[in-house]
Amino acid sequence: MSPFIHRPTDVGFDSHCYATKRRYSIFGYYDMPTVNDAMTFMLPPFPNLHTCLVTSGSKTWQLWSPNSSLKAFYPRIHAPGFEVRMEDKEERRRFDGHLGRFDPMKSLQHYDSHRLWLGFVHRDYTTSSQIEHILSFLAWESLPPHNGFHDLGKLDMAFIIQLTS
Amino acid sequence: MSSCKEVAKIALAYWADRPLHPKDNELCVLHGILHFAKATDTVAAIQRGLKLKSAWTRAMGILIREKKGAAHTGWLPKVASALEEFLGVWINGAKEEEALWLLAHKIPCFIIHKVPVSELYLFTEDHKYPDFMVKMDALLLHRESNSFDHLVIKTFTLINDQLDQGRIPRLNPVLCAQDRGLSDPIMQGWLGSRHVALDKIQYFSLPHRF
Repeated sequence: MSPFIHRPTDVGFDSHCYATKRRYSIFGYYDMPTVNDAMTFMLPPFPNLHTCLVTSGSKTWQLWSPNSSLKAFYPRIHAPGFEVRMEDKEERRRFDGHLGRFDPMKSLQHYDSHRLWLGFVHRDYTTSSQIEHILSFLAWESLPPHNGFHDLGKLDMAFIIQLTS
Repeated sequence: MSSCKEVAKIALAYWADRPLHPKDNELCVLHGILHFAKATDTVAAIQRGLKLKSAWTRAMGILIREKKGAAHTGWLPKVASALEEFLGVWINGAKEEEALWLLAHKIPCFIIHKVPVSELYLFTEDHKYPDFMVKMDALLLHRESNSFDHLVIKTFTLINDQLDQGRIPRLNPVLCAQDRGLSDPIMQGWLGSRHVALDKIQYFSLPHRF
């Protein structure tokens, strides 16, 4: 089967909608930071420095990298023992289904030697054709309202096959 | 996955924590008629699982090849540019050999440093951002750039904006000057436009060029 390609069609109704209230995807990202800026060893010499300053409240932080020019979001530190997972209550979930600022698939986190592979997660690219980066939004096929539900539909079969193969 | 069982010989903990999702029964849910929210959450969870498996396999491939844990004990002459397709990590609080291992494998590494008020004059005003979001990659999540959130405006969906700070410590960790001193790029040898050690290497290598 050919790979999923988004082809917008107008079927006269649109069921891209949520039955319950939820959180904006950006929820929590602007909260005041709790920061761990510990650093007790010297890095090898670095030929380039990429840096920016963030001033929040009365404090200023320098965010820098010895090897990357990307601007990275600082997720803050979380409470000990906290485990990032999908919220049980739908109203506490985000519209796009991601898990917030501590979601290691969305934002880089503090290094965790027990999960060293998190640094190897591929960055999201909106233009990527890899199935793990394609928005499910684009594969949604709306169905007409049924039994009072206006949010029913199905996912494009090529998208499902690509996702599950 | 069978070849990855070699990981168990190198570090049992990595094998025990290997990502297992998505499982076949989780994928079955996608077939048939769904509510939009259910489809969104399920696909997001599957995509998370796929990304995690891919990252784990890549990292374990390196460990198997190197036949040792994620620690670089040798000399690293200088930091090479990172492979920017990877998210990377914040290395504050990491051990030296761990951070060097990440740098040696070109994982983007980032450092945060609290700037004392007394040193603020050293920075020019135009480099300051008012929050951690400005010009950051996470801005793609914002409702102007996020297709899912854009729907909410279009369909008048109710928003839950109730605050939840329960999972974040209220206070920053207490660190002495010694613990955080080297998060400052100047203390790392950065002189404003170059690194002091690379400058010396260049200076001492000059005679060899003539």
